Amino acid sequence: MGDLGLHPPRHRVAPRAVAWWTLRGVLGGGIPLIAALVVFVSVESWRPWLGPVLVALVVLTAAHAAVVPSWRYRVHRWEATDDAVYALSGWFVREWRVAPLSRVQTVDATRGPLQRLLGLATVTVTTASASGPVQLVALPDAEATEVAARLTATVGRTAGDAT
Amino acid sequence: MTWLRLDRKVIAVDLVRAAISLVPTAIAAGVLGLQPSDAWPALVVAVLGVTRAAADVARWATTRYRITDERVEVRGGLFTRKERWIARDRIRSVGSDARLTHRLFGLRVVTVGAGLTGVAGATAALRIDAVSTTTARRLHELLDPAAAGPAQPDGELLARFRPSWILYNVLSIWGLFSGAGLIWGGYWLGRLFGYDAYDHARELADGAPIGWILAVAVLGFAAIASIGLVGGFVAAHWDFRLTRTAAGSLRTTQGLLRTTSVDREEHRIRGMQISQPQAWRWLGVADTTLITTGVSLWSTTGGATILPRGPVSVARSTATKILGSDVLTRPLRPAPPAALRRRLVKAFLWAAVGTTAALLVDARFTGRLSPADAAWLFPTLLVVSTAGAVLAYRSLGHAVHDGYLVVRSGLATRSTAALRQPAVIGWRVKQSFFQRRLGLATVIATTAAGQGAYVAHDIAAAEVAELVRAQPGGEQAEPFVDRRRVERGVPEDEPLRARSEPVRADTVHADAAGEAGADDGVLVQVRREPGDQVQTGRHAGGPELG
Repeated sequence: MGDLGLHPPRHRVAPRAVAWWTLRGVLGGGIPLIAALVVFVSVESWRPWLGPVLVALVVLTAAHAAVVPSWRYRVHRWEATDDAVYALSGWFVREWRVAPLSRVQTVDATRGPLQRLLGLATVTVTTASASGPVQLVALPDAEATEVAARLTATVGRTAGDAT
Repeated sequence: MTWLRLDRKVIAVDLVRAAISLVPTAIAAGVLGLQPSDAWPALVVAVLGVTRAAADVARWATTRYRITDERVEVRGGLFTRKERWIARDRIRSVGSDARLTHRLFGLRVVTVGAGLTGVAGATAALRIDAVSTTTARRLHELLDPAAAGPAQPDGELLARFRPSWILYNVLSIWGLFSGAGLIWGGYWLGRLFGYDAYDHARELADGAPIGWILAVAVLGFAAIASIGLVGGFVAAHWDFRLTRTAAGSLRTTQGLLRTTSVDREEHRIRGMQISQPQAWRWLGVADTTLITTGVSLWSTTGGATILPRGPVSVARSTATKILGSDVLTRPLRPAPPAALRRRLVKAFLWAAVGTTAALLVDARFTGRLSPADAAWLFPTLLVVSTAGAVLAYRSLGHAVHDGYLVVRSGLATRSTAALRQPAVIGWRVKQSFFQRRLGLATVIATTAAGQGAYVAHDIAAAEVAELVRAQPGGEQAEPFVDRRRVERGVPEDEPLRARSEPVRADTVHADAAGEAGADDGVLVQVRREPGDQVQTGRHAGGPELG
């Protein structure tokens, strides 16, 4: 019923991406959790209502870390041809993005601290549209470098004013 | 070309302005005989005015500009030296305007607009403030040869001011704000002459029923606001004309005391948008904007707005003349009923959440409501949110006509945008879990012009590939569409995961059709209907052109 008639991009992201997403989710949920815990210990009068909030936070963070990364891994895919970059991302909401190389302005490879730890990188391809960037999230480090170099070379060869 | 100075008459303008700023002090001291402690607002005005005039003279003395073959440069500044240059091939618009004082001395301020929308943020504007009217016209011709030529002759008149437009501009929430501004200004003017309107009102109110006072205040407020709006609109838009110059640029000229003229090169126009506020849709109120590269969306004088707010019939006929096609008047394909179902479910959830939140907050703070009150609270919220859902659903529509992608949506404001297909520089398709269940998807066309993205909300999933591929040449979207897999069979380096979606059957069917069509390089239309019935060109008796 909901099939879009769009083929999924060819490559999956690095399997280590699951670890990255899990770490990120635990850290993202863990910091407010610790803050809430400190308040819970120090302010006695808030305990009656802060207790349930704490429990809810723990459950949500744990559920998110358990479910979302592997869900994401099943969804995320990417492909870069000589004509276009193409990425599928998301988990609950899926998003397909395509940018033809004739309209590409810049190609970046970025590595955050967590990504460096795991040997991952994200390639971002931007077009002249503010809402158009295509992100190839969590590729293996070496592959990201190679893809970025190949895309930059192809973009350099492709004529067009990018608008 | 050598460095040029601004016009000498700028000094005269500054002298006049300084003199004007001294007037309140003169009246306060000379006519009313006030002490400086009572007349301090007048003194502030005088000091500010004289300082600004002096600073402007310094600016005149230090500023130089020149126009070379490659760029326009302006430099100047007394304490901080500033230089700014714009490459001439980046110039997107050349405008000139004049305030009353400028006009008295035959001066014009020339504005040069450039830059990217969205990516770079605001439009970088370079102002040459001010030169004589003849120099302004010469600069205009030099920098924007496409727009050269005197204001009216040869130009095709596309639209012109009608007094009835005033009505359309009185109906606005901004009236309240400008009304407040007027009252505030009036109050301070009164204070300046020793009249305190607030005290006076309190005296008058003494003994009178408070309800009447409030009613009078509100009515007075609305009247003042309306006067403010009418005045502002007339001052800005009087004698509005939209013309197409002989050299292919759209020129607007407008203004009662301060004439503004803006040229926009037609070859940068990527489409148009007509927005109708739902509250005034029965009156046919519409705003008309151009979708164009290099013009900031938010600049009110600089370009995107091509017509003042007015009747939708004028908006549509003007759009037809500008685009050379009546795409914005043609009927659109409505969203499938599933889109309405999605909105109704959301409306129900909003009403439920709203009721719960209201009861919880009330229980915590006042305790005036009991759970039984949900019996009227929930239905009330439900009626409102359902009305919103239906309204939002009825706005939805999309189509591809005449080489334009047309999308329409909006709850508070119904916006219809027509975007030239070659201007689409990428696609995004979003589908949530529930959208997938309902057979819907949201398609976003990204572009360098206008808002940067134009959205077709909740179209039938089966139409997505068709819409994305309906590009001239279609090459941009090609890797996107299922045909690839049809040809290639299966992604190469990945073992296919067990597909839960029933795609396989199509792949097989379409494969045959794909081969038949691939002989002469013709695209085969693969369309899936709800219920997994596959319709290919072959079924229809031969490959169709995609």
